[in-house]
Amino acid sequence: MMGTEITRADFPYAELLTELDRSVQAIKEAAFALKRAAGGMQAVERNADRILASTRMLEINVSDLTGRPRTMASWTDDDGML
Amino acid sequence: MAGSDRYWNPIVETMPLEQLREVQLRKFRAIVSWAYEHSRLHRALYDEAGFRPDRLKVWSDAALVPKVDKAHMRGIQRKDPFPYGDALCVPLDRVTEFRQTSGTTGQAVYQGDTWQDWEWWAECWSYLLYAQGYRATDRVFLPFGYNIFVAFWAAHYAAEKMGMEVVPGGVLDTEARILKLQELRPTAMMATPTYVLGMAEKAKTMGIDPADDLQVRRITCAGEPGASIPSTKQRMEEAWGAKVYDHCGATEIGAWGFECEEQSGGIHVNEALFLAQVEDLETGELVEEPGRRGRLIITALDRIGMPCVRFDSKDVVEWAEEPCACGRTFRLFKGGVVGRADDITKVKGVLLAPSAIEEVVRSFPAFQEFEVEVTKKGDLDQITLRLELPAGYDGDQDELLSQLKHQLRLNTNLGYRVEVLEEGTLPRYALKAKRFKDLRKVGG
Repeated sequence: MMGTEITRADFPYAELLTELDRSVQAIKEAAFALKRAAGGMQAVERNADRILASTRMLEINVSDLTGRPRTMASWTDDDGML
Repeated sequence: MAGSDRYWNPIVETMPLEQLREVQLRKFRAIVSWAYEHSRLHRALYDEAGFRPDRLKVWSDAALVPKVDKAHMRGIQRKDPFPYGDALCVPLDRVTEFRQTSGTTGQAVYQGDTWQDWEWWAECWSYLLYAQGYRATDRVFLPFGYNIFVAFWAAHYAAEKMGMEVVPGGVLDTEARILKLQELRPTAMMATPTYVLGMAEKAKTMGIDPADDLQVRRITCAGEPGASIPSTKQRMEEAWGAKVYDHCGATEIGAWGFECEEQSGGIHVNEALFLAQVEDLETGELVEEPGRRGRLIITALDRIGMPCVRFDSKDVVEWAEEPCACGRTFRLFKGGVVGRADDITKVKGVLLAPSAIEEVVRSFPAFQEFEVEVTKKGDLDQITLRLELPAGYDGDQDELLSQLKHQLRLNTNLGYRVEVLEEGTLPRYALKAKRFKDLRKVGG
């Protein structure tokens, strides 16, 4: 059972969680895009990191419940995938 | 969404147990792997025990993961990456918060958190404050000087996150804090049980009755077990005319448990963010059934800077028989944390938990502050209980003391030497009260 996606049959909120997760991932992608485009500008990078830390809380409350792979460290997209 | 008025996250807080266990196991595997890959402390421990994270297949495998305790954490600190040492899992420049334990049981332990971890701390507290009825309309007063300890910092951040108005009450003396309560009319407050009672006592000397003259209707306690001790809770609730709630947490763990508005006599484990395992005090066997005490081994499922994986909290707990009427599927510990494995001591051959004495003393409204001292006279243990009685006490003191000794004998199976002191003689504590002193170990 481990690592399987939760389906509507398992859990009444499955559809809602999937929809919420899509929005959470969109925020995350946008924040990473912002960081990449910032060219080292701290005013952008550091604020984007804060958005990503908050986005991780959204993942804890939404995405982690769907069974999707988790990112542990919010500030990077290349060291935490397990 | 249904339940949004009662639960911070209605989906996970009412999730069917089977699904909740799946989520927990998936997250547990991830944090164990993270610790193994990024913490030299955890890798060394796991390698030494012949454990690898890929062995975690089913629920019962969780018990295979080696435990960590405070001694491990003390052993690694003050080394590189300074001062946290081998348990730090992130580059040092990702650490934004330093806290340390109070050092009550030995050398203080340093704790480094990333900003993500700090967001997570606030998330833990948001679950608990929402469960205790706090809402954006509350004005919350924190009569506490925030400092190097974690106490109430995360509560402050959570209250802000939830939209409350936060009044920081540090660097004020008790009188000034009471006047501020009168001036600003906060609806909620957070403090240690000892300080909650001390403030009420002080307010009365100022001619202010907290229950009638102040607007605090909700109090959350931390730092000591008092809010889960029925007689102490009752005394606080009567003094303030407020509901008093308990919560459980620790610097190295996070805020892992909370009492909800139902006040069902237990503490919910926040099973969205923590995995709680209870082990028999003697055998270490996993305890799943209600009614049997054990020590809490706990994992913070989402804390990454310095992970807390299978941490031996030394808290003594017992699963409750019935689920809570609040509708949460998060399990309950009956009576909260009922003691500390390192606090429970043998006196005259009988196991004694200091909280059992507090429960009895606080059930007698006449007594104010108290302290307990265990000494050795020759080969015999002796317990002295010192109590403050108000100067104007007009009851029969001998009868009162006789009832107290009788109740203590019933609850703890021990006899006590009782000394009555004048009101105001014993120290008042703002953080962790030290009322139980075992002087046998220091040659007393």
